[in-house]
Amino acid sequence: MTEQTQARIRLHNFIEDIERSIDTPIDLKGMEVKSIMIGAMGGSAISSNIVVSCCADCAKIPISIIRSPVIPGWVGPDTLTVISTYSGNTDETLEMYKRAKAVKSPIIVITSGGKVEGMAESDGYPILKIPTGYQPRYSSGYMIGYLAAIIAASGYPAFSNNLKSCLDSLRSYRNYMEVQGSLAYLLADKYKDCVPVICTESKFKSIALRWKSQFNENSKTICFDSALSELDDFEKAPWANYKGKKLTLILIAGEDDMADDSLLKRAANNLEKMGFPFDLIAVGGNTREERLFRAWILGDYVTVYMAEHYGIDPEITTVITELKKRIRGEIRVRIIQSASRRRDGQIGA
Amino acid sequence: MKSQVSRNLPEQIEETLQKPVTKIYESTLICIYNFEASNVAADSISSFVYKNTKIQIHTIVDKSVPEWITPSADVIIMSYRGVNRYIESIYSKVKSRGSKIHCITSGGKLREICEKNSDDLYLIPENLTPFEATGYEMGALVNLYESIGATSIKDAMISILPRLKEYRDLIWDSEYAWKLAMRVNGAIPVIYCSGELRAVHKRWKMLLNSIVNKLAFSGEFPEFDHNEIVSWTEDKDSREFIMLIIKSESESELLDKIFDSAIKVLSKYKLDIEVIDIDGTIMERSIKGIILADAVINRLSEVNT
Repeated sequence: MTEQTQARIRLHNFIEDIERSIDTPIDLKGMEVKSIMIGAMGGSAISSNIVVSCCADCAKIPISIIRSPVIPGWVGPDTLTVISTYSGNTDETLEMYKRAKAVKSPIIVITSGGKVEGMAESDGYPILKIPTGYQPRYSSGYMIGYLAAIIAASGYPAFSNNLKSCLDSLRSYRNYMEVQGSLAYLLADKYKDCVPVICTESKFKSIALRWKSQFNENSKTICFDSALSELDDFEKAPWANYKGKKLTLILIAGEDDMADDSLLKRAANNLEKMGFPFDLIAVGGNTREERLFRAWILGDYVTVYMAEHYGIDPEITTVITELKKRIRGEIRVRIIQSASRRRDGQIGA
Repeated sequence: MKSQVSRNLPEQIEETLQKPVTKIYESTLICIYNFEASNVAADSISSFVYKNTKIQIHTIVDKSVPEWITPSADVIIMSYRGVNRYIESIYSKVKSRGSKIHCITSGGKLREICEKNSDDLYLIPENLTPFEATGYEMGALVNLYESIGATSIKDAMISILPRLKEYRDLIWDSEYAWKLAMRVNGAIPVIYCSGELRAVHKRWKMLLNSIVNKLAFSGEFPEFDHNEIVSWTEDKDSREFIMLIIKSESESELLDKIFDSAIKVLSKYKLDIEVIDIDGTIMERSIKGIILADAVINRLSEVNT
């Protein structure tokens, strides 16, 4: 492995970032929240996924994550909208903000700045600030902590409390991941030069998404995700037929999912019978939160160590920058074209 | 190899819509459990409700019963064969919460418990493969949504049926379907489309997995732009795959531009990409994407016979 990257320093601070944000006082001004919509993309959305997954058993209101500029028709004054964008300039998220505002949904913004900060200041919506200087996906500690605080303020503090109670254990786990020869190092070595396919149960979906995006961005590795139910229903024969060497099937679950009659065990047994090689990563922990967050931390370190092994900077994602510029440039072109056509009388007055 | 898909998906919808719908009440919160191939019908029809009504819909594909499922929620359990391993456990948990239960099935345990408890039951024809029954499931779900407050969905569906038939007639035995079949036969397909067309990439993947026994993967725009695009442009293993990008004009100018820009950026790299254009209203786009998948798999199953 080569020298430590800036990304690794950011990963180290994940737990502390949660601690810095999770007890932030949130004033909902007496609003009775009937549902929550979180508008986010990429790392911000995936941070929301792990929170929502943890809240399924404790929040008595639906919490939805929207990854599209088009927000659902049900969003309105009873819905608390959380707009989460690290840069504050994510085009899709800005459009969600505008659409949520148009239907009079109360909004809370999580950001480091950008256009959304100016918009929220001007509209008088609360802003929860993240420090600048991060790559968006490494600011997940803040995003998770702030979301926990918002959900607690909405009347459901269980997730926040559960997460706080396992932070020390997660810190120890994180420290272990940083020791040479840890599980993260072993897996980074094992998964280099392959195309990982992460398969989980629905309750671990956030982990599949996090691992996939971190493989994609940190180690620049193609990676796919799949659901255990789909593996069981549709994918057994295709995997048995697969003769290539590149795809590596990785099942990730909590240790508590290993009962003999579980879906996980059944899928694993079936794969074994077919003689198809796969990895099963069973993550320990006393609570759902602890297991999910350990799996999250593990994936982050695996992919950063892989990047270090390849000698690439996990923080640099040139093509995304290029694409964003292109999208904004093209939108400007279209607006200019529309304006000139309007001047020429080609569009109705 | 039997294709297991039906050319008559639009006619199945039409036949099911002829059943009268009794308006029950105005629902505000719906949770829909859908399993196996029923997933596709649920996602395609729900896309209309998501965009055009104030009803909140949540889709669940496992046995979890979130705390917010209370007497104010309508719960739809949808499984063609009605034998999914989770059905009894979900049913009993939901029942204990006092939610209203609606079932769409052809039989099995789901029909049995639904009839026993006098729940709202939408029966669809038996003895089909789950993929052949998709049109019936769609029609039943439209009737159900119409009855619980998604007014206008039935008219919207009726209005697109002629265009769906026309598209099917154009595409079913076409050179284009044949060309796509040949394209996906040679590499591992990865199907991308917008989140509103989730049913489409699911259909492609399920059919490739189940009928052709071929691995396939999928993803969604605009999320693709925020992470996956990095590896597609930097990982040499991208050559193992063919990307099918299903593109359609949406209700968001931004989303349309994101598609166009991403395709332009990707085209600069040595990637095997096939862009598929689909037009129409939201439900129409979704069902056309499903018909195209069925037509391609039908051709592919001929090749592999």
